Amino acid sequence: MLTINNITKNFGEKVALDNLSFKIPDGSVFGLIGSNGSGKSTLLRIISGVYEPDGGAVEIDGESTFENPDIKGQCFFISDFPYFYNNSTVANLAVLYRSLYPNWNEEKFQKLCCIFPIKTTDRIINMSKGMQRQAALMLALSTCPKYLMLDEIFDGLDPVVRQLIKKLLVEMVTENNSTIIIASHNLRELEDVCDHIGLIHKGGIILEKELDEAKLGIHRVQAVFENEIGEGLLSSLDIVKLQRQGKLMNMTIRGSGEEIEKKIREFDPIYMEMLPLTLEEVFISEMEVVGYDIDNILK
Amino acid sequence: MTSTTFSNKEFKALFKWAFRRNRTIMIIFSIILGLGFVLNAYIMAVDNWTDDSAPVTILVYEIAALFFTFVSALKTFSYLHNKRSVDMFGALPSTRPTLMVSHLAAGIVSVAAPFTVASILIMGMLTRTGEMFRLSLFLIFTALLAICASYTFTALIAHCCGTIIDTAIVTVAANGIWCGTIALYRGFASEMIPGIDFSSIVDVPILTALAPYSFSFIDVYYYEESNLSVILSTIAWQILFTVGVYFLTIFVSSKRKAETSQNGFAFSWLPMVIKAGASVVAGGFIGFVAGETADSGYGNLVVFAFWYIIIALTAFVILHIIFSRGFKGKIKPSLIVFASTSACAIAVVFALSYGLGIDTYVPDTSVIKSVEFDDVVYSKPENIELVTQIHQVIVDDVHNVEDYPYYFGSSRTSYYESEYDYSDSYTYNYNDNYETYELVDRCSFDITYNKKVGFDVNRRYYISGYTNRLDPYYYDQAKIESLLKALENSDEYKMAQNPLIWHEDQRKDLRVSRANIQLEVYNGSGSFTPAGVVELPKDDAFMNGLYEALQKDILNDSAFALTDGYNLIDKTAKFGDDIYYLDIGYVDKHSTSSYNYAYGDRPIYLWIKPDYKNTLDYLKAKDMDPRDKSNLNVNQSNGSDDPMTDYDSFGWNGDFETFKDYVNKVAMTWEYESCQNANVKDISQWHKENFGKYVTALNFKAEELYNKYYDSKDFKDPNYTNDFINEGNAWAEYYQLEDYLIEQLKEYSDTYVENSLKANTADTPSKTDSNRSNNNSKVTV
Repeated sequence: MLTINNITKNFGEKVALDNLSFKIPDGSVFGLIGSNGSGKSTLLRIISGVYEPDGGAVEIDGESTFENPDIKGQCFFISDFPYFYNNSTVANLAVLYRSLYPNWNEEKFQKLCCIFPIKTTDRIINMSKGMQRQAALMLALSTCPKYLMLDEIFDGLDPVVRQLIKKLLVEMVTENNSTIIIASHNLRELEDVCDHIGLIHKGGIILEKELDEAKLGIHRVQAVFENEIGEGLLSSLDIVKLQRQGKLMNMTIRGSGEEIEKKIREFDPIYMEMLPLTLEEVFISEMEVVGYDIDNILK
Repeated sequence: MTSTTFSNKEFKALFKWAFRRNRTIMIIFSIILGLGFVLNAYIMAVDNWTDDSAPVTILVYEIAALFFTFVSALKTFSYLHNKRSVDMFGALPSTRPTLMVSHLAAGIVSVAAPFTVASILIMGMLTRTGEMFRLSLFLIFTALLAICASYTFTALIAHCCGTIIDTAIVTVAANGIWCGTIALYRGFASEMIPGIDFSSIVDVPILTALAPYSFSFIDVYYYEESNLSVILSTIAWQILFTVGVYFLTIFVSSKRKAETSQNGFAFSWLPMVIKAGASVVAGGFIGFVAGETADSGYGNLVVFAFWYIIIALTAFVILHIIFSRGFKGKIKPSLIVFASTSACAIAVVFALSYGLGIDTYVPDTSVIKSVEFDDVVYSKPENIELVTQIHQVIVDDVHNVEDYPYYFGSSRTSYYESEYDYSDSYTYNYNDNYETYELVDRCSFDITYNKKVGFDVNRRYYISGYTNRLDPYYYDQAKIESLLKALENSDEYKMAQNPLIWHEDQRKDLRVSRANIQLEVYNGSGSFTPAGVVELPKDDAFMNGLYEALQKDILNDSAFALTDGYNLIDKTAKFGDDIYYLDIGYVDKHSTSSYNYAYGDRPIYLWIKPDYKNTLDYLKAKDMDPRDKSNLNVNQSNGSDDPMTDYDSFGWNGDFETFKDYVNKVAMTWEYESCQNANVKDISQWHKENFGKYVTALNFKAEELYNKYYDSKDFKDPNYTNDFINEGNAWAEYYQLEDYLIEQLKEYSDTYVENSLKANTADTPSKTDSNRSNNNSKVTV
């Protein structure tokens, strides 16, 4: 279990993370989503021990990750721009990681070398952005981390490789009960692979729950009523967003589907349809609640 | 923690990784070192070079090593200065101190290993003597220490900075700021406070104590056995500094925030300190130099202040722009630090000058362990008391003499600059009895109090600026001279000044060069004519007896005769005096090297004065009294085999070549006849004994004749004539006199040879030196 306890991180006067707390269960794929500058990357760096929090602590199985080589040996972090020295190759980085990471799996490394179209003796710095990420991922997976932190891992990857990576990540979770935390703006990809999500905005957590729960806890409803709907219906529902087009009402409503349907039916709609929300719609809806929407930005 | 760090697997893995990263620099460095080796080998092969030149090459290697230390350290710790690399290294399963230590160790090894190998190879190829071998080893050791110190220091700076360029700037600045600050303070102190002198307090180890890139050069600068304590304490400090910086770097590495990379500085106080320090030093230095060039008392302060403000502010703004990458950074806090530093610096200078009584401070005798007064160390209470009294006489009057309150750029400097001009003035009064603590020709007194507890107290007073007694004198001259006289006659002074007793504690055995007492004749113009030697036995028993006799005479002697050789003789001897002296050396207890007494290679002669009764009695008892000229052997004088060469240097200006030809012709005839008469087969042996005595006899006759005319009222020495208009005539008369003397010498020579031939028709050359005293060839002049 990865526990984030009241994490605070400031960069000068700017508050990057503000008293952030939540837990990530073992064996889950946790999608960390949020607006730009919300603190996702900072949180990943704190979890992986790169940054020291100004307050609070990140604990894995009760132990702090910062300056703790034993715990960090169970973790691997691929940043949004993986760093490689001029003369780094997959082979010579493997030499370093082999010595440092206790769970390094040579067999797996060799297998990944066959899977990914990368020559291990080529200088990584000369490779394309996507290839560099593949190289980083090959090495990361070879360390068999219990906790894998990935920042914008899907950037620059072609759809096939994205599928491949998602498959490998799921395999890793299945085989090793590993926990994967992926920070990304590519919500479509996250939706495929994540079972948990955390939504961060301005250094605070807005929501943290299972993906299905998150998706099932909010619904888009289209309904047409014969008569004007009074305040009674609107006040009985937890409406996140409401749009009217003549008699057609588009509503994004928080709550269980059955309950929402039951309450709407009480007002005899001529037409009613409940539509599932994509993760991106969930994200937009939730962000609108905190005032982060296009209308506000354009104001 | 450190031992754990070095042994854990993370350290080993990171060390290997960092070492591999340094491979390129290491290869380039090795190639350069290799080129140096090949160049030396080539020179050896082509020029048959057999010099002990290893230390020079090692020193050049060291300069290269320090350059590569700087470059390598910047590269090694560049992982701190890039956000992406911080992500990579920060996430590795290791602590930050382990990361730092592994990179530091790898970096040091990558520079030190090639340097050590190359230096040892050079040492093997270009070392001939034990002394050079020791020096080379010392150089290698101190260079390795400097590499470690410099690398660690740069690592510390790298952890305090956010970018490579800032690391480079701060490393250079930090090395210079300390030196500049100390030098400036000392410069100001010596300018403003009487008694404080820059040259007497410029303590290089302290000046460079926080500048690790200069460490080894300081050690080499002080490399001399007499500086052993300085070297050891300096090296001890350097080791302490390195260890201290190492632990500080570990501490800083654990406190450094990873997010500060690419942000200029990891600690906001650092740029403020560097900006303020560098600006104050730059402004102070230029202001100091500008103030020195001004020539009006307090006006110097105005000039100083003007340039200080201009330069210091300019330096401050430039550094601010560099560190802030423009004008964006907050300048106000930095300005406050800068202003505070300037105010403190100026306050300290003025407090030192006026507030603390340094100018009139004389330590109480009860706290003084010993005092060094003009190179003589006194530890007896009565002598310490004398020195403090001299000091007190000076400080009692210092406010009047030095125009209190003092101002920067006073005339004390001009005394110092004039010191060397006065050094030749003894020629005006060379016939006076020279007194060592004579105030004439003297410019300053140096006093160093070694206190029982606490730091030494150093003072230098510029007591006079005159060349003769008619010039005005600033302090109470009569009182100072009486105190000096008392000091001169102390045993400690005599023991310290006399070359025979000097370094007694270091001496393993006494050696008299050429095992002789040398007789020379003073010719009145600052040089001497070798006239013969008394050969001394080389056994220890004889030497110990001679040493004891000399020591008694020396301690009974007045002070004036106790300084070093020729200069003293030159000032006291009169034209034509016989000078007996011992050329003394010794073998050091702690090494096998031979040394002359006194300063390095300069030979020191101990003059056996006529009133050295114990010595002369001792020599007489051994049948070696130098006053008995029959004991003299001219052949060995000055180490020359040709007595005519010695005679040639007698210094006459007449037609000496003609006389020399004449003597040779006479000698050849005489030699032929003598050998024929005595049926001598070994002509060279005969020549050595009889011809030497013949020349000695001529020498003494010449001296006798010369003295006779020199002492006469009619004689005018053209060297010392005041009649410049008729100087040509004086020289003409002088040459005529010499021609006349030569004629008389020729007559004497003829008589000598004639008598010798008559007396020695059956003479047989002696076989050994011991027979010489019984030889009937003793000359009667």
